[in-house]
Amino acid sequence: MKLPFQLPPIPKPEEIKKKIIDSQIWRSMFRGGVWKDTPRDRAQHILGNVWLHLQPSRVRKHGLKWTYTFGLGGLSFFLFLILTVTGVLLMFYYRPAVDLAYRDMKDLEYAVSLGSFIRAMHRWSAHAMVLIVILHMIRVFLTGSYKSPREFNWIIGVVLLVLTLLLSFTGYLLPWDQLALWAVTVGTNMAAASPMLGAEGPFAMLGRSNDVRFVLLGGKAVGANTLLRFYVLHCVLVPLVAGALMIVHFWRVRKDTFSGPIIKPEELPHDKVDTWPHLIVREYVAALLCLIFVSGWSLLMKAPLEEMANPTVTPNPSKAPWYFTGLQELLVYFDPWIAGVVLPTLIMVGLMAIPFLDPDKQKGVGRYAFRERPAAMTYFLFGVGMWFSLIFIGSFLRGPNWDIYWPWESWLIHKAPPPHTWSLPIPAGLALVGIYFVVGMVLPKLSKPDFQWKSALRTGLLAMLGIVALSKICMHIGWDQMAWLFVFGYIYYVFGVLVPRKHLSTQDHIRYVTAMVLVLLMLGVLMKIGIRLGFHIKYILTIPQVNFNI
Amino acid sequence: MLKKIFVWGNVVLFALLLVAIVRDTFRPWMKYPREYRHMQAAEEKGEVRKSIESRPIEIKQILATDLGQVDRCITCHQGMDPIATPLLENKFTENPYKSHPGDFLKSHPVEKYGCTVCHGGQGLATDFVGAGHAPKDDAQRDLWRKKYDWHPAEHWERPMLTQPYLQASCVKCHANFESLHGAETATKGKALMDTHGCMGCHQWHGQGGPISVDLAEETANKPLTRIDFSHTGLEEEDRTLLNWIQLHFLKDPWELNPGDPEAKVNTEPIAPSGMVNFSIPSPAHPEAGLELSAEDAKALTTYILSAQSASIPHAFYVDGPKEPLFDEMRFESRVDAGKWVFNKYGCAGCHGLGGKGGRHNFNYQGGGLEPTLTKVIGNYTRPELLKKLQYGVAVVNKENEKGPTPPLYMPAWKDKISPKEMEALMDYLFSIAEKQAEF
Repeated sequence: MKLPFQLPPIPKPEEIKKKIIDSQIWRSMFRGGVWKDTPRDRAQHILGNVWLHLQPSRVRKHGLKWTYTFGLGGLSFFLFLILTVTGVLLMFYYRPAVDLAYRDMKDLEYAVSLGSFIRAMHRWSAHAMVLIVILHMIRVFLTGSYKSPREFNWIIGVVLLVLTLLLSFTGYLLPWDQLALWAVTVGTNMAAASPMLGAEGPFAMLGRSNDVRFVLLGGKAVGANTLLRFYVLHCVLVPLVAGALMIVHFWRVRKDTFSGPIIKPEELPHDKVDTWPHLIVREYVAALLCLIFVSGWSLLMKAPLEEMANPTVTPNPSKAPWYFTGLQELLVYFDPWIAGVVLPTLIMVGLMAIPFLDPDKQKGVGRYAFRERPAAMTYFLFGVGMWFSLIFIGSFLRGPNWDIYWPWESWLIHKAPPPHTWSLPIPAGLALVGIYFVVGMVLPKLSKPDFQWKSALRTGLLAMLGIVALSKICMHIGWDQMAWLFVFGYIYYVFGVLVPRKHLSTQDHIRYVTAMVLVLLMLGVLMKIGIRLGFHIKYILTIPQVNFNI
Repeated sequence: MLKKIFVWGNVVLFALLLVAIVRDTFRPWMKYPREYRHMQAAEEKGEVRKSIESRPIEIKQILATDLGQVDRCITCHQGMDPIATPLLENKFTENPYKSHPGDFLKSHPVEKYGCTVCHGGQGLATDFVGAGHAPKDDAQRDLWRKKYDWHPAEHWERPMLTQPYLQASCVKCHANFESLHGAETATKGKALMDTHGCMGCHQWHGQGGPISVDLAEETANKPLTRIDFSHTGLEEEDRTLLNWIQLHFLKDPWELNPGDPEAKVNTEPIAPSGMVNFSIPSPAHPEAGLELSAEDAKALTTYILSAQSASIPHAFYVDGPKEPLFDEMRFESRVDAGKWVFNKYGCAGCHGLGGKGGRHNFNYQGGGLEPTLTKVIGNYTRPELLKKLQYGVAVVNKENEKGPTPPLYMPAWKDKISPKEMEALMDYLFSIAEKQAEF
């Protein structure tokens, strides 16, 4: 067949591509012309795109190593994005009312297309985000990346960590099942124990119907108002605040520059490479692996959903979400106002104080350098270890009545009640607390920091054995008590006396005092645990008139 | 290396999302409506057949708005779907295709009642396990394990009820259940409860003795977390409320609920259960054999389960005969009247059927057995007996002073048993007393 007119020649793909890219529409949307893969093009690619310009156009090579950051900060943000997307999808089906919320969960599970998968993704991503944000913080500490000029960004980071926990915690209630109701009950009961502001805390000034728990719950117990409040907090308020702070966090990373080993003037120019593609591809791959992991996991494991929430049926045990079971475990040894309010506040304050307590601004930046900053590393890892050990005990070893149950033990076995406890009289308690802090403050200063580790450890060991033996002879303590006394005493000797003597005692007064107070408080938690385990002492200092118990 | 991860990562991610979508699109329930459509179409021709074959495969649900329930059971049980099976009748004999047996749906329209209000289970579920299917016997359980990977629905405390326990659901609305066909087991359960003296210690909606729990308000609605299954010997998947109740009639209650008589775990000694041990013949007259058969245990369980709470609108209730009152009854004799009172207030719970055999009472002075009335009544004068009935024995003597308080005691009946009833009861009690030798 012959056409009555001549067809125009078929254009080649390259020509079409050029035509599209040169068209007014394309050029109006994307800055820059045809891609030629020149350094200028690569830089332009980053600079010309509002999202990619979150990164600088060139980055130092050492930052690209997997083992430097493990991509933890980026993954935290990526998980936040997954949570935003899946969360918005879930919001289409979810109604925050007590008689509907649980039913909507069942609808997601059984009727909604991909509902079960998306809910599982949201749930598991949330757990992953809490974990990865914590790991990110640990990494930033270990590589000294909080040091000047990044102190402020470290503080923003600590606030973001708290917001992440809040996001997860407020979301925990929304399925309105037994797990949710009782975890949130455990968590918010801590608020009622706040000093002064909580109805059940020491120096309480407010009643049950106007204290902080009431504000949080919109009632005296978890109910319909709480669900609505937590919904608004979870879906609107906390994400907005967290988002705003994330912008500040990322902007400060750009402005303070990405952390790395300090460069001496003679080593200039930098060993920088183009962000596109070197950094971008790594970020993409990290996000990709994360998404594979989360979706694979969500395919295998459904999000948990227990019976519908019932305020009259308390599960035994009722556990807080896993990241709070460490604090819940401390409830065994402390009153709620310490375990739930004072200690978390101290942890936050302590974390924020780290960059200012660190006297050296250059040592160990950009590397995992244990030898260069032994004191900082020791105490930080000590705290992290305590935090996760307590979480492990609270999550895996506690059963009915919060008794210890090994993982292979059936929860149907009845356990004997804990032994009877007693408290010290007030004068003795005051003296003990006073001695702990005053002597604890002075001890590291008593001798010079130039001692030998080996001989000091040996001397301590012998001294501890002597004390234990003496206690056995004079006070007839049991063998298990000897063991507790020895273990906790030796821990105190090493971390409360030797390490501060070696590394902290040379610092200026303000730093020394602040750091020592924090160290003594952290060790104090452990010492109280030891005193309870070994000697069944409930309170060291108790003033029942004002609910003040330590 | 990075390039490889990049390429393969994308492929794996795409595959995972595809798996998610495929798994979501082809759900296990779909084969049942499809098969039903096929079976139904095979019997028809022409237009009808076409219309059957074009019926969409979708989740079907009954919105029982009055009951506040949504039941998706008919998604698979298409024989009971008024749209797929307008007459609610078909020739199929196998579940899930067969239509509802009996004529229950005629008087209980499926659009109004749904399914779970009678059958139990989880109406919103669209998979076999989640629906809370319960096997009727071990053979079916094994079959389901193979076929559906069956286990009890997790975190769902009210699985489906099998026969005869299903009859408990009739009693929820029908106060006239004793005259209904198909509710024979529940009727038998109620009768057994009256004659075996449960109400001497337990209550039923507040009426009854003060010694133990309210069977209707508490036992029937007990959440699983409050049940201590430690001594039941039940496997994890058998730990249900139904089995818990039923075991009380089949096992020694001391074994089921041993308390802590030596104060090993508690600060004070706690006596084991005070309930009658129905697993052995009454110790007072063992020649009579077991008081309750396995069938009786089922009947009692069924009747107790009928008190499970359900939000049923008032209009659904069917009135029944009133509980008979003593004053309105006609008796052959005073003794008959007294016997009726003896049964009504559950005296047999502690003193045995016809007062012939005292039940065990842990750490009770004199061998741990409640008094056998036929043996002891003869020692009382009428005023003495009246006083004992009226004021009871609140504090009973212990065999071992350091042991736990015996669980059973004689309650004060003066506010529960009316004076007229009391007189009749005493007539009856003296009539059963064994004649004492004259000194």
